[in-house]
Amino acid sequence: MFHDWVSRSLRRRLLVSLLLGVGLSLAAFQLITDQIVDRYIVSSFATAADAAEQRDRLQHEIDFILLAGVVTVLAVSALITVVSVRRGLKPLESATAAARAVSPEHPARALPLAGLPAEIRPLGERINELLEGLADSLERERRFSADLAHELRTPLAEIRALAEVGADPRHDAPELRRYLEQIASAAVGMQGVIESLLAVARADRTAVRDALEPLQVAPAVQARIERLRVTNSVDPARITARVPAGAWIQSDPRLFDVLLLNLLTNALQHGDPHGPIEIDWLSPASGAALRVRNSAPQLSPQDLPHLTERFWRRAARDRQAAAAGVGLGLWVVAGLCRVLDLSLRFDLDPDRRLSVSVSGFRSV
Amino acid sequence: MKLLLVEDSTRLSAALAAGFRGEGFAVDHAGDGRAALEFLRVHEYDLLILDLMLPQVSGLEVLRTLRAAQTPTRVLVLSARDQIEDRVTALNLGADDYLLKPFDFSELKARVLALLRRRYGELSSKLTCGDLTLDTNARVASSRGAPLPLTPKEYALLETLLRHRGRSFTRAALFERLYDGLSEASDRVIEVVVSTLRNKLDKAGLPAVIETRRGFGYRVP
Repeated sequence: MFHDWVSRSLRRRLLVSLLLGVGLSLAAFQLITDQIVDRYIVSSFATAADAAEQRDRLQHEIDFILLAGVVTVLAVSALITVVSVRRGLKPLESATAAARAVSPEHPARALPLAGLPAEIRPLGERINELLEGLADSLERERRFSADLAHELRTPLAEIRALAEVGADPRHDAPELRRYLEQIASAAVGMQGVIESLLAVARADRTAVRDALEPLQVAPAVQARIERLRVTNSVDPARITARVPAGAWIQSDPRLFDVLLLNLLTNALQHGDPHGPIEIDWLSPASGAALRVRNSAPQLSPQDLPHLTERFWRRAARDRQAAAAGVGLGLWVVAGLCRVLDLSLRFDLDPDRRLSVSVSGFRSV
Repeated sequence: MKLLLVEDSTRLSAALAAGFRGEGFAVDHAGDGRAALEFLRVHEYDLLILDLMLPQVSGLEVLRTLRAAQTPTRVLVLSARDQIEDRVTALNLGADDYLLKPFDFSELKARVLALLRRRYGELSSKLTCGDLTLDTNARVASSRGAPLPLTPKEYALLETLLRHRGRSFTRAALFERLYDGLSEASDRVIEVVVSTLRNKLDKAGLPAVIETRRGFGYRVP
Protein backbone atom coordinates (compact mmCIF):
# COMPACT_ATOMS: atom_id res chain seq x y z
CA MET A 1 0.00 0.00 0.00
CA PHE A 2 2.75 2.40 1.06
CA HIS A 3 4.78 1.41 -1.97
CA ASP A 4 1.80 1.98 -4.29
CA TRP A 5 1.22 5.41 -2.87
CA VAL A 6 4.85 6.48 -3.23
CA SER A 7 5.01 5.04 -6.68
CA ARG A 8 1.85 6.81 -7.90
CA SER A 9 2.79 10.10 -6.31
CA LEU A 10 6.31 10.11 -7.66
CA ARG A 11 5.26 9.16 -11.17
CA ARG A 12 2.50 11.81 -11.26
CA ARG A 13 4.87 14.56 -10.16
CA LEU A 14 7.52 13.60 -12.66
CA LEU A 15 5.06 13.46 -15.55
CA VAL A 16 3.48 16.79 -14.66
CA SER A 17 6.93 18.38 -14.46
CA LEU A 18 7.87 16.90 -17.82
CA LEU A 19 4.72 18.10 -19.57
CA LEU A 20 5.06 21.58 -18.10
CA GLY A 21 8.67 21.74 -19.26
CA VAL A 22 7.82 20.65 -22.77
CA GLY A 23 4.87 23.06 -23.02
CA LEU A 24 6.92 26.03 -21.85
CA SER A 25 9.75 25.08 -24.25
CA LEU A 26 7.29 24.89 -27.12
CA ALA A 27 5.83 28.34 -26.37
CA ALA A 28 9.30 29.88 -26.05
CA PHE A 29 10.49 28.36 -29.34
CA GLN A 30 7.35 29.61 -31.14
CA LEU A 31 7.95 33.14 -29.89
CA ILE A 32 11.61 33.09 -30.84
CA THR A 33 11.02 31.75 -34.39
CA ASP A 34 8.32 34.37 -35.02
CA GLN A 35 10.78 37.11 -34.11
CA ILE A 36 13.56 35.60 -36.25
CA VAL A 37 11.34 35.19 -39.28
CA ASP A 38 9.93 38.73 -38.95
CA ARG A 39 13.21 40.51 -38.43
CA TYR A 40 15.83 38.72 -40.52
CA ILE A 41 14.28 36.51 -43.19
CA VAL A 42 11.08 38.21 -44.40
CA SER A 43 12.77 41.62 -44.83
CA SER A 44 15.10 40.22 -47.57
CA PHE A 45 12.33 39.63 -50.09
CA ALA A 46 11.40 42.35 -52.70
CA THR A 47 7.62 42.18 -52.89
CA ALA A 48 5.17 41.95 -50.11
CA ALA A 49 3.39 38.97 -51.78
CA ASP A 50 6.59 37.00 -52.14
CA ALA A 51 7.52 37.91 -48.68
CA ALA A 52 4.19 36.72 -47.29
CA GLU A 53 4.33 33.46 -49.23
CA GLN A 54 7.90 32.76 -48.23
CA ARG A 55 7.15 33.74 -44.71
CA ASP A 56 4.23 31.30 -44.42
CA ARG A 57 6.21 28.43 -45.96
CA LEU A 58 9.16 29.07 -43.75
CA GLN A 59 6.88 29.43 -40.76
CA HIS A 60 5.25 26.03 -41.47
CA GLU A 61 8.60 24.30 -41.93
CA ILE A 62 9.94 25.72 -38.72
CA ASP A 63 6.67 24.77 -36.92
CA PHE A 64 6.95 21.22 -38.27
CA ILE A 65 10.58 20.90 -37.20
CA LEU A 66 9.79 22.29 -33.78
CA LEU A 67 6.75 20.04 -33.35
CA ALA A 68 8.69 16.96 -34.43
CA GLY A 69 11.50 17.94 -32.07
CA VAL A 70 9.12 18.48 -29.20
CA VAL A 71 7.39 15.12 -29.81
CA THR A 72 10.78 13.40 -29.98
CA VAL A 73 11.92 15.17 -26.80
CA LEU A 74 8.62 14.24 -25.15
CA ALA A 75 8.97 10.55 -26.11
CA VAL A 76 12.60 10.36 -25.03
CA SER A 77 11.83 12.21 -21.79
CA ALA A 78 8.90 9.90 -21.06
CA LEU A 79 11.14 6.89 -21.62
CA ILE A 80 13.86 8.35 -19.38
CA THR A 81 11.23 9.18 -16.75
CA VAL A 82 9.80 5.65 -16.69
CA VAL A 83 13.26 4.08 -16.54
CA SER A 84 14.51 6.44 -13.84
CA VAL A 85 11.34 6.08 -11.77
CA ARG A 86 11.62 2.31 -11.98
CA ARG A 87 15.28 2.39 -11.00
CA GLY A 88 14.54 4.84 -8.20
CA LEU A 89 11.77 2.64 -6.81
CA LYS A 90 13.74 -0.61 -6.99
CA PRO A 91 15.10 -0.41 -3.39
CA LEU A 92 11.57 0.31 -2.19
CA GLU A 93 10.29 -2.74 -4.05
CA SER A 94 12.99 -4.87 -2.38
CA ALA A 95 11.98 -3.47 1.00
CA THR A 96 8.32 -4.24 0.24
CA ALA A 97 9.19 -7.81 -0.75
CA ALA A 98 11.17 -8.21 2.49
CA ALA A 99 8.25 -6.78 4.47
CA ARG A 100 5.90 -9.30 2.80
CA ALA A 101 8.22 -12.12 3.93
CA VAL A 102 7.89 -11.10 7.60
CA SER A 103 5.54 -13.46 9.39
CA PRO A 104 5.09 -14.91 12.89
CA GLU A 105 7.30 -17.83 11.76
CA HIS A 106 10.04 -15.48 10.46
CA PRO A 107 9.61 -12.34 12.54
CA ALA A 108 13.26 -11.27 12.63
CA ARG A 109 13.68 -10.44 8.93
CA ALA A 110 14.88 -6.83 8.65
CA LEU A 111 14.04 -4.67 5.63
CA PRO A 112 17.00 -4.01 3.29
CA LEU A 113 17.92 -0.32 3.60
CA ALA A 114 20.69 -0.13 0.97
CA GLY A 115 19.74 2.19 -1.88
CA LEU A 116 16.66 3.61 -0.18
CA PRO A 117 16.16 7.36 -0.78
CA ALA A 118 17.46 9.44 2.12
CA GLU A 119 13.92 10.68 2.86
CA ILE A 120 12.60 7.14 3.33
CA ARG A 121 15.64 5.61 5.09
CA PRO A 122 14.67 6.82 8.66
CA LEU A 123 11.26 5.22 8.16
CA GLY A 124 12.92 1.93 7.16
CA GLU A 125 15.26 2.09 10.14
CA ARG A 126 12.33 2.64 12.50
CA ILE A 127 10.42 -0.27 10.96
CA ASN A 128 13.50 -2.47 11.45
CA GLU A 129 13.69 -1.46 15.11
CA LEU A 130 10.03 -2.37 15.54
CA LEU A 131 10.53 -5.71 13.76
CA GLU A 132 13.45 -6.52 16.03
CA GLY A 133 11.38 -5.70 19.12
CA LEU A 134 8.50 -7.76 17.77
CA ALA A 135 10.80 -10.74 17.15
CA ASP A 136 12.19 -10.50 20.70
CA SER A 137 8.71 -10.28 22.13
CA LEU A 138 7.47 -13.28 20.10
CA GLU A 139 10.50 -15.30 21.17
CA ARG A 140 9.91 -14.42 24.83
CA GLU A 141 6.25 -15.39 24.58
CA ARG A 142 7.12 -18.64 22.80
CA ARG A 143 9.63 -19.54 25.51
CA PHE A 144 7.14 -18.55 28.21
CA SER A 145 4.40 -20.73 26.67
CA ALA A 146 6.79 -23.67 26.50
CA ASP A 147 7.84 -23.15 30.13
CA LEU A 148 4.24 -22.80 31.25
CA ALA A 149 3.14 -25.90 29.34
CA HIS A 150 6.02 -27.81 30.90
CA GLU A 151 5.20 -26.64 34.42
CA LEU A 152 1.52 -27.49 34.08
CA ARG A 153 2.19 -30.93 32.59
CA THR A 154 3.74 -32.30 35.77
CA PRO A 155 0.95 -31.35 38.24
CA LEU A 156 -1.58 -32.46 35.63
CA ALA A 157 0.20 -35.82 35.38
CA GLU A 158 0.12 -36.04 39.18
CA ILE A 159 -3.62 -35.37 39.30
CA ARG A 160 -4.40 -37.92 36.58
CA ALA A 161 -2.17 -40.63 38.04
CA LEU A 162 -3.49 -40.06 41.58
CA ALA A 163 -7.10 -40.15 40.37
CA GLU A 164 -6.64 -43.29 38.26
CA VAL A 165 -4.61 -45.23 40.81
CA GLY A 166 -6.78 -43.96 43.69
CA ALA A 167 -9.92 -45.24 41.93
CA ASP A 168 -8.77 -48.85 42.44
CA PRO A 169 -11.68 -50.56 44.28
CA ARG A 170 -9.21 -52.34 46.56
CA HIS A 171 -8.49 -49.05 48.36
CA ASP A 172 -10.28 -48.44 51.65
CA ALA A 173 -11.73 -45.10 52.74
CA PRO A 174 -8.61 -43.69 54.51
CA GLU A 175 -6.44 -44.57 51.49
CA LEU A 176 -8.95 -42.96 49.18
CA ARG A 177 -8.93 -39.83 51.36
CA ARG A 178 -5.13 -39.67 51.12
CA TYR A 179 -5.34 -39.79 47.33
CA LEU A 180 -7.95 -37.02 47.31
CA GLU A 181 -5.80 -34.85 49.60
CA GLN A 182 -2.85 -35.27 47.26
CA ILE A 183 -4.99 -34.39 44.26
CA ALA A 184 -6.09 -31.22 46.06
CA SER A 185 -2.46 -30.40 46.85
CA ALA A 186 -1.44 -30.81 43.19
CA ALA A 187 -4.35 -28.60 42.14
CA VAL A 188 -3.19 -25.90 44.60
CA GLY A 189 0.24 -26.03 42.89
CA MET A 190 -1.37 -25.44 39.50
CA GLN A 191 -3.46 -22.62 40.94
CA GLY A 192 -0.24 -21.03 42.22
CA VAL A 193 1.25 -21.01 38.72
CA ILE A 194 -1.84 -19.44 37.18
CA GLU A 195 -2.39 -16.83 39.91
CA SER A 196 1.23 -15.72 39.83
CA LEU A 197 1.08 -15.18 36.09
CA LEU A 198 -2.21 -13.31 36.32
CA ALA A 199 -0.92 -11.05 39.10
CA VAL A 200 1.81 -9.69 36.86
CA ALA A 201 -0.29 -9.66 33.67
CA ARG A 202 -3.06 -7.64 35.32
CA ALA A 203 -0.58 -5.28 36.96
CA ASP A 204 0.93 -4.59 33.53
CA ARG A 205 -2.44 -3.62 32.16
CA THR A 206 -3.69 -1.28 34.84
CA ALA A 207 -2.58 2.26 35.35
CA VAL A 208 -1.14 1.39 38.74
CA ARG A 209 1.02 4.45 39.09
CA ASP A 210 -2.02 6.77 38.84
CA ALA A 211 -3.89 4.91 41.55
CA LEU A 212 -1.41 4.94 44.45
CA GLU A 213 -2.75 5.71 47.89
CA PRO A 214 -1.34 6.17 51.42
CA LEU A 215 -0.61 2.83 53.07
CA GLN A 216 0.54 2.11 56.63
CA VAL A 217 3.14 -0.63 56.28
CA ALA A 218 3.12 -2.29 59.74
CA PRO A 219 -0.58 -3.37 59.78
CA ALA A 220 -0.30 -4.55 56.14
CA VAL A 221 2.67 -6.76 57.07
CA GLN A 222 0.94 -8.14 60.18
CA ALA A 223 -2.25 -8.88 58.21
CA ARG A 224 -0.24 -10.82 55.61
CA ILE A 225 1.54 -12.89 58.31
CA GLU A 226 -1.82 -13.69 59.90
CA ARG A 227 -3.29 -14.79 56.55
CA LEU A 228 -0.28 -17.07 55.98
CA ARG A 229 -0.87 -18.58 59.42
CA VAL A 230 -4.50 -19.32 58.58
CA THR A 231 -4.18 -20.45 54.95
CA ASN A 232 -0.72 -22.06 54.90
CA SER A 233 -0.41 -23.19 58.54
CA VAL A 234 2.72 -21.08 58.89
CA ASP A 235 4.01 -20.76 62.45
CA PRO A 236 3.95 -16.97 63.01
CA ALA A 237 6.77 -17.34 65.58
CA ARG A 238 9.13 -18.05 62.65
CA ILE A 239 8.53 -14.59 61.22
CA THR A 240 9.88 -11.47 62.95
CA ALA A 241 8.69 -8.14 61.57
CA ARG A 242 10.49 -4.93 62.54
CA VAL A 243 8.38 -2.22 60.93
CA PRO A 244 7.88 1.11 62.73
CA ALA A 245 4.27 2.22 63.24
CA GLY A 246 5.06 5.53 61.60
CA ALA A 247 6.06 3.97 58.27
CA TRP A 248 3.59 5.21 55.66
CA ILE A 249 4.09 4.92 51.95
CA GLN A 250 2.33 5.78 48.72
CA SER A 251 1.44 2.45 47.11
CA ASP A 252 -1.24 0.13 45.72
CA PRO A 253 -2.40 -1.90 48.76
CA ARG A 254 -3.39 -4.96 46.69
CA LEU A 255 -0.11 -5.11 44.80
CA PHE A 256 1.89 -4.42 47.97
CA ASP A 257 0.19 -7.45 49.54
CA VAL A 258 0.95 -9.65 46.49
CA LEU A 259 4.56 -8.47 46.65
CA LEU A 260 4.83 -9.30 50.35
CA LEU A 261 3.08 -12.65 49.88
CA ASN A 262 5.56 -13.71 47.19
CA LEU A 263 8.58 -12.56 49.20
CA LEU A 264 7.43 -14.53 52.24
CA THR A 265 6.29 -17.58 50.25
CA ASN A 266 9.68 -17.70 48.56
CA ALA A 267 11.42 -17.61 51.96
CA LEU A 268 9.11 -20.29 53.35
CA GLN A 269 9.37 -22.67 50.40
CA HIS A 270 12.98 -22.31 49.35
CA GLY A 271 14.73 -21.32 52.57
CA ASP A 272 15.68 -23.38 55.59
CA PRO A 273 12.34 -25.07 56.50
CA HIS A 274 12.81 -24.37 60.21
CA GLY A 275 14.90 -21.18 60.08
CA PRO A 276 13.68 -17.72 61.06
CA ILE A 277 12.41 -15.16 58.55
CA GLU A 278 13.08 -11.50 59.28
CA ILE A 279 11.18 -8.56 57.82
CA ASP A 280 12.84 -5.15 58.24
CA TRP A 281 11.74 -1.69 57.21
CA LEU A 282 14.76 0.41 56.28
CA SER A 283 14.94 4.14 55.61
CA PRO A 284 18.05 4.89 53.58
CA ALA A 285 18.54 8.17 51.78
CA SER A 286 17.49 6.59 48.47
CA GLY A 287 13.97 5.90 49.75
CA ALA A 288 12.21 3.49 52.10
CA ALA A 289 12.99 -0.19 51.65
CA LEU A 290 11.52 -3.53 52.67
CA ARG A 291 13.98 -6.34 53.39
CA VAL A 292 13.13 -10.03 53.87
CA ARG A 293 15.95 -12.20 55.18
CA ASN A 294 16.08 -15.95 55.58
CA SER A 295 18.58 -18.76 55.73
CA ALA A 296 19.18 -20.32 52.28
CA PRO A 297 21.82 -23.02 52.83
CA GLN A 298 21.42 -24.50 49.33
CA LEU A 299 21.93 -21.20 47.51
CA SER A 300 25.26 -20.05 46.08
CA PRO A 301 26.28 -16.56 44.85
CA GLN A 302 26.15 -17.90 41.27
CA ASP A 303 22.43 -18.55 41.72
CA LEU A 304 21.54 -14.90 42.49
CA PRO A 305 21.23 -13.68 38.86
CA HIS A 306 18.77 -16.52 38.16
CA LEU A 307 16.41 -15.85 41.06
CA THR A 308 13.99 -13.74 39.04
CA GLU A 309 13.91 -16.07 36.03
CA ARG A 310 10.58 -17.68 35.40
CA PHE A 311 10.36 -21.30 36.57
CA TRP A 312 14.00 -21.32 37.70
CA ARG A 313 14.76 -23.58 40.64
CA ARG A 314 18.14 -24.42 42.06
CA ALA A 315 19.52 -27.66 40.56
CA ALA A 316 16.82 -27.64 37.88
CA ARG A 317 14.25 -28.76 40.43
CA ASP A 318 14.38 -28.39 44.12
CA ARG A 319 12.69 -31.47 45.48
CA GLN A 320 11.46 -29.81 48.63
CA ALA A 321 10.15 -26.83 46.74
CA ALA A 322 8.55 -29.05 44.11
CA ALA A 323 5.84 -29.94 46.59
CA ALA A 324 4.53 -26.39 46.70
CA GLY A 325 6.69 -23.86 44.82
CA VAL A 326 6.66 -23.40 41.10
CA GLY A 327 9.61 -21.05 40.56
CA LEU A 328 7.54 -17.95 39.93
CA GLY A 329 7.56 -16.07 43.25
CA LEU A 330 10.56 -13.81 42.70
CA TRP A 331 9.68 -13.39 39.03
CA VAL A 332 6.35 -11.95 40.23
CA VAL A 333 8.21 -9.70 42.70
CA ALA A 334 10.45 -8.42 39.90
CA GLY A 335 7.39 -7.76 37.70
CA LEU A 336 5.61 -5.82 40.45
CA CYS A 337 8.78 -3.80 41.14
CA ARG A 338 8.78 -2.77 37.48
CA VAL A 339 5.16 -1.67 37.65
CA LEU A 340 5.61 0.20 40.96
CA ASP A 341 8.97 1.80 40.02
CA LEU A 342 10.84 -0.04 42.78
CA SER A 343 14.31 -1.59 42.85
CA LEU A 344 15.01 -5.22 43.71
CA ARG A 345 18.30 -6.47 45.13
CA PHE A 346 19.62 -9.83 46.35
CA ASP A 347 22.50 -10.37 48.77
CA LEU A 348 23.88 -13.60 50.13
CA ASP A 349 26.11 -13.22 53.19
CA PRO A 350 28.89 -15.70 54.10
CA ASP A 351 26.47 -17.50 56.47
CA ARG A 352 24.23 -18.21 53.47
CA ARG A 353 21.52 -15.81 54.59
CA LEU A 354 19.62 -14.41 51.65
CA SER A 355 18.41 -10.80 51.80
CA VAL A 356 15.80 -9.72 49.30
CA SER A 357 15.47 -5.92 49.39
CA VAL A 358 12.78 -3.91 47.66
CA SER A 359 13.63 -0.21 47.75
CA GLY A 360 12.35 3.07 46.35
CA PHE A 361 9.01 3.28 48.21
CA ARG A 362 7.77 6.83 48.37
CA SER A 363 7.20 7.81 52.01
CA VAL A 364 4.12 9.85 52.85
CA MET B 1 9.01 -57.92 37.55
CA LYS B 2 11.07 -55.17 39.05
CA LEU B 3 10.82 -51.51 38.10
CA LEU B 4 12.93 -48.52 39.02
CA LEU B 5 10.92 -45.33 39.00
CA VAL B 6 13.12 -42.22 38.65
CA GLU B 7 10.93 -39.17 39.23
CA ASP B 8 11.46 -36.09 41.40
CA SER B 9 7.78 -35.33 41.94
CA THR B 10 6.99 -37.19 45.14
CA ARG B 11 3.23 -37.10 44.51
CA LEU B 12 3.54 -38.59 41.03
CA SER B 13 6.07 -41.24 42.02
CA ALA B 14 3.95 -42.28 45.02
CA ALA B 15 0.89 -42.70 42.79
CA LEU B 16 2.76 -44.64 40.12
CA ALA B 17 4.54 -46.86 42.65
CA ALA B 18 1.18 -47.67 44.29
CA GLY B 19 -0.37 -48.42 40.92
CA PHE B 20 2.40 -50.79 39.79
CA ARG B 21 2.69 -52.47 43.19
CA GLY B 22 -1.03 -53.15 42.99
CA GLU B 23 -0.28 -55.05 39.77
CA GLY B 24 2.35 -57.19 41.48
CA PHE B 25 5.45 -55.27 40.40
CA ALA B 26 8.31 -54.61 42.76
CA VAL B 27 8.99 -50.88 42.54
CA ASP B 28 11.98 -48.89 43.73
CA HIS B 29 11.90 -45.11 43.65
CA ALA B 30 14.79 -42.69 43.12
CA GLY B 31 14.11 -38.95 43.49
CA ASP B 32 17.21 -37.77 41.61
CA GLY B 33 19.71 -38.95 39.03
CA ARG B 34 22.47 -39.77 41.51
CA ALA B 35 20.17 -42.00 43.59
CA ALA B 36 19.03 -43.69 40.37
CA LEU B 37 22.61 -44.58 39.41
CA GLU B 38 23.18 -45.98 42.90
CA PHE B 39 20.03 -48.17 42.64
CA LEU B 40 21.17 -49.38 39.20
CA ARG B 41 24.61 -50.23 40.56
CA VAL B 42 23.19 -52.42 43.31
CA HIS B 43 20.05 -53.98 41.81
CA GLU B 44 18.95 -55.50 38.52
CA TYR B 45 15.76 -54.10 37.01
CA ASP B 46 13.51 -55.30 34.24
CA LEU B 47 12.46 -51.76 33.40
CA LEU B 48 13.33 -48.18 34.23
CA ILE B 49 10.72 -45.39 34.14
CA LEU B 50 12.81 -42.25 33.80
CA ASP B 51 12.02 -38.54 34.08
CA LEU B 52 14.46 -36.28 32.22
CA MET B 53 14.60 -33.15 34.37
CA LEU B 54 16.15 -34.45 37.56
CA PRO B 55 18.23 -32.83 40.28
CA GLN B 56 21.92 -33.79 40.67
CA VAL B 57 22.30 -35.90 37.52
CA SER B 58 19.96 -35.45 34.54
CA GLY B 59 17.81 -38.25 33.16
CA LEU B 60 19.75 -38.24 29.89
CA GLU B 61 22.99 -38.73 31.83
CA VAL B 62 21.45 -41.67 33.70
CA LEU B 63 20.41 -43.15 30.36
CA ARG B 64 23.87 -42.62 28.87
CA THR B 65 25.54 -44.32 31.86
CA LEU B 66 23.10 -47.24 31.75
CA ARG B 67 23.67 -47.87 28.06
CA ALA B 68 27.46 -47.44 28.37
CA ALA B 69 27.37 -50.30 30.88
CA GLN B 70 25.39 -52.37 28.32
CA THR B 71 22.64 -53.07 30.85
CA PRO B 72 19.70 -54.84 29.17
CA THR B 73 17.13 -52.98 31.31
CA ARG B 74 14.35 -51.48 29.17
CA VAL B 75 13.90 -47.73 29.56
CA LEU B 76 10.66 -45.79 29.25
CA VAL B 77 11.14 -42.03 29.40
CA LEU B 78 8.31 -40.18 31.10
CA SER B 79 8.76 -36.46 30.57
CA ALA B 80 7.01 -33.10 30.34
CA ARG B 81 9.44 -32.07 27.58
CA ASP B 82 7.32 -32.09 24.47
CA GLN B 83 9.77 -31.07 21.74
CA ILE B 84 10.57 -33.55 19.00
CA GLU B 85 14.30 -33.06 19.55
CA ASP B 86 13.90 -34.16 23.21
CA ARG B 87 12.29 -37.41 22.08
CA VAL B 88 14.85 -37.96 19.36
CA THR B 89 17.73 -37.37 21.77
CA ALA B 90 16.34 -39.77 24.37
CA LEU B 91 15.57 -42.49 21.81
CA ASN B 92 18.98 -42.09 20.20
CA LEU B 93 20.64 -42.45 23.59
CA GLY B 94 18.97 -45.82 24.04
CA ALA B 95 15.50 -45.19 25.46
CA ASP B 96 12.98 -47.83 24.32
CA ASP B 97 9.90 -45.63 24.60
CA TYR B 98 8.90 -42.02 25.34
CA LEU B 99 5.64 -41.00 26.99
CA LEU B 100 4.66 -37.37 27.44
CA LYS B 101 3.16 -36.00 30.66
CA PRO B 102 0.27 -35.89 31.41
CA PHE B 103 -0.56 -39.47 30.50
CA ASP B 104 -3.15 -42.12 31.08
CA PHE B 105 -2.01 -44.65 33.68
CA SER B 106 -3.52 -47.53 31.71
CA GLU B 107 -1.48 -46.46 28.66
CA LEU B 108 1.69 -46.30 30.75
CA LYS B 109 0.95 -49.77 32.10
CA ALA B 110 0.32 -51.13 28.59
CA ARG B 111 3.60 -49.67 27.33
CA VAL B 112 5.49 -51.12 30.31
CA LEU B 113 4.02 -54.56 29.63
CA ALA B 114 4.83 -54.30 25.92
CA LEU B 115 8.44 -53.41 26.72
CA LEU B 116 8.71 -56.33 29.12
CA ARG B 117 7.34 -58.70 26.48
CA ARG B 118 9.92 -57.37 24.04
CA ARG B 119 12.68 -57.80 26.59
CA TYR B 120 11.85 -61.50 26.97
CA GLY B 121 11.23 -62.02 23.25
CA GLU B 122 7.55 -62.87 23.66
CA LEU B 123 5.20 -62.40 20.75
CA SER B 124 2.02 -62.91 22.74
CA SER B 125 0.76 -61.71 26.09
CA LYS B 126 -0.13 -65.31 27.02
CA LEU B 127 2.30 -67.60 28.91
CA THR B 128 1.20 -71.24 29.14
CA CYS B 129 2.25 -74.39 30.95
CA GLY B 130 -0.12 -77.28 30.37
CA ASP B 131 -3.57 -76.17 31.54
CA LEU B 132 -2.15 -73.09 33.22
CA THR B 133 -2.33 -69.79 31.30
CA LEU B 134 -1.06 -66.37 32.35
CA ASP B 135 -2.41 -63.28 30.61
CA THR B 136 0.41 -60.80 31.20
CA ASN B 137 -1.71 -57.88 29.99
CA ALA B 138 -4.66 -58.54 32.25
CA ARG B 139 -2.32 -59.88 34.97
CA VAL B 140 -4.60 -62.89 35.42
CA ALA B 141 -3.74 -66.59 35.83
CA SER B 142 -6.28 -69.20 34.79
CA SER B 143 -6.61 -72.97 34.78
CA ARG B 144 -8.53 -74.35 31.80
CA GLY B 145 -10.13 -70.91 31.42
CA ALA B 146 -11.13 -70.55 35.08
CA PRO B 147 -9.38 -67.57 36.78
CA LEU B 148 -7.21 -68.34 39.79
CA PRO B 149 -7.54 -66.03 42.83
CA LEU B 150 -3.85 -65.10 43.14
CA THR B 151 -2.43 -62.19 45.10
CA PRO B 152 -0.18 -59.74 43.19
CA LYS B 153 2.96 -61.33 44.71
CA GLU B 154 1.81 -64.89 43.88
CA TYR B 155 1.05 -63.82 40.34
CA ALA B 156 4.44 -62.08 40.02
CA LEU B 157 6.28 -65.16 41.28
CA LEU B 158 4.44 -67.44 38.89
CA GLU B 159 5.05 -65.04 35.99
CA THR B 160 8.79 -64.90 36.77
CA LEU B 161 9.09 -68.71 36.84
CA LEU B 162 7.03 -69.13 33.65
CA ARG B 163 9.00 -66.41 31.82
CA HIS B 164 12.21 -68.25 32.59
CA ARG B 165 10.88 -71.75 32.19
CA GLY B 166 13.42 -74.41 33.10
CA ARG B 167 15.65 -71.99 34.99
CA SER B 168 16.00 -72.42 38.76
CA PHE B 169 15.73 -69.41 41.05
CA THR B 170 17.07 -69.38 44.59
CA ARG B 171 14.98 -67.86 47.34
CA ALA B 172 17.28 -64.81 47.39
CA ALA B 173 17.08 -64.36 43.61
CA LEU B 174 13.28 -64.45 43.68
CA PHE B 175 13.22 -62.03 46.60
CA GLU B 176 15.46 -59.64 44.66
CA ARG B 177 13.08 -59.78 41.69
CA LEU B 178 9.81 -59.54 43.58
CA TYR B 179 10.51 -57.09 46.39
CA ASP B 180 11.57 -53.45 46.51
CA GLY B 181 15.20 -52.70 47.22
CA LEU B 182 14.27 -50.99 50.46
CA SER B 183 11.94 -53.77 51.63
CA GLU B 184 12.51 -54.80 55.22
CA ALA B 185 11.06 -58.30 54.74
CA SER B 186 13.30 -61.38 54.88
CA ASP B 187 13.76 -63.59 51.82
CA ARG B 188 12.00 -66.32 53.80
CA VAL B 189 8.79 -64.63 52.70
CA ILE B 190 9.38 -66.35 49.34
CA GLU B 191 8.80 -69.74 50.97
CA VAL B 192 5.45 -68.51 52.27
CA VAL B 193 4.43 -67.14 48.85
CA VAL B 194 5.47 -70.39 47.10
CA SER B 195 3.56 -72.42 49.66
CA THR B 196 0.30 -70.46 49.29
CA LEU B 197 0.69 -70.44 45.51
CA ARG B 198 1.15 -74.22 45.40
CA ASN B 199 -1.98 -74.68 47.51
CA LYS B 200 -4.01 -72.60 45.06
CA LEU B 201 -2.58 -74.45 42.07
CA ASP B 202 -3.28 -77.81 43.74
CA LYS B 203 -6.89 -76.81 44.33
CA ALA B 204 -7.18 -75.83 40.68
CA GLY B 205 -5.94 -79.25 39.59
CA LEU B 206 -2.41 -78.12 38.71
CA PRO B 207 -0.31 -79.99 41.30
CA ALA B 208 3.17 -80.14 39.78
CA VAL B 209 3.66 -76.74 38.21
CA ILE B 210 6.39 -75.50 40.59
CA GLU B 211 9.25 -77.87 41.29
CA THR B 212 11.76 -77.55 44.17
CA ARG B 213 15.33 -78.49 43.33
CA ARG B 214 17.27 -78.93 46.51
CA GLY B 215 20.25 -76.56 46.57
CA PHE B 216 19.11 -74.77 43.39
CA GLY B 217 15.73 -73.31 44.28
CA TYR B 218 12.40 -73.25 42.43
CA ARG B 219 11.55 -73.69 38.78
CA VAL B 220 8.75 -74.48 36.35
CA PRO B 221 10.01 -77.49 34.37
